[in-house]
Amino acid sequence: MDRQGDSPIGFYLDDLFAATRALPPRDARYLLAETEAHLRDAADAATASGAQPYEAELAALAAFGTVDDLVPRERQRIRVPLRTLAGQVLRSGMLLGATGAMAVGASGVVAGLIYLIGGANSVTTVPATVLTPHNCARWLSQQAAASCHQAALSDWAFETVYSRLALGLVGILLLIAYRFSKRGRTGNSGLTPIVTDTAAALAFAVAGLWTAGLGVDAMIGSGGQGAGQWLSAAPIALAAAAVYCARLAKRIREEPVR
Amino acid sequence: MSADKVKGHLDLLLLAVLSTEPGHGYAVITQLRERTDGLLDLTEGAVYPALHRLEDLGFLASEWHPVNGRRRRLYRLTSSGHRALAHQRAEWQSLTQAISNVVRSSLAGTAEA
Repeated sequence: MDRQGDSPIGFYLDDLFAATRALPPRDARYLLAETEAHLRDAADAATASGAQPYEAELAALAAFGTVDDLVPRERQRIRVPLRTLAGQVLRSGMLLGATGAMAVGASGVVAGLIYLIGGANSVTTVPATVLTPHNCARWLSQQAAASCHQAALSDWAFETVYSRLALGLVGILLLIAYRFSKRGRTGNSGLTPIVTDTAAALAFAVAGLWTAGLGVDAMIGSGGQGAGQWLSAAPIALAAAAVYCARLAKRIREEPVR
Repeated sequence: MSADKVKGHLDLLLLAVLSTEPGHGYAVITQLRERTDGLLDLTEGAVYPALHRLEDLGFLASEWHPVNGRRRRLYRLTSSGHRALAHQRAEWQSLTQAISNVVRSSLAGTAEA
């Protein structure tokens, strides 16, 4: 018998080939290869049990199911409903947003330490243009300071630190919301981890390098004034980028991209 | 046992079989048949979309290997797959325990009557 052509398995594979044209090429190729290997194994097993080759192939096909049964299942797997996709994007967005916000919160802690050690001048700068009589009156009414500039510095430094800490708190709440949204789901309920890890690694790396550059620029160009607002963020962002890069490398090793 | 009854538990069955050792589709089906003494009446082709879906979910990873002269796609559980298996196994045990309790109590009631 010609195993590749005029045999029941050969005909079945011809039909399967025709039916899988709507599938992505790689999925179609894999399905054909797996189906052929399976059917040949099953037919060989039946032949070894005493069946004639032709009957063995028919038995293998009967157990395997029809092309009309197989291909729609595969199509259904590949098609991601819009609602599911929207949910995945939302949940991944929540997780990434929570991680980013918590990283900002952590940079607020570092900025607070820099503020305690180096004073308000080290975490912020106040351009002269904002020192209007109206603003000065407001700042000086809120705190005892030697000058409007000093009062503005304290106010802005305070805002720099506390707004970041507040964002960190929002990140924690978002993470709790994300955990709740995952309840009852097994495994990954967002986008593919490789996608989210890549996005997070890139975002943190860009943020880390950008803030590090601004910090170095402030150190060189402004004698360190306000450098703390950038240098408090850079190590956190770079550390987060390193963590996501390590996770990504582990995932790629463990689950090679198809 | 009909394919309909297996349908809702196919993921658990596949993960359980592959948790012991990596395998290709035909080997997985053979294992399922052997471990259930042929009780499961499964359409063999249905296993492949299920394996592919589990791979999409990150529970399985696959690689192509030549086995006995044929190119085969070997599936293995990832760490996420092991976690999913543990979760689904716990759910399954709770379900069977609950059903067993009800059935046992009905048997006891019948015996008393």
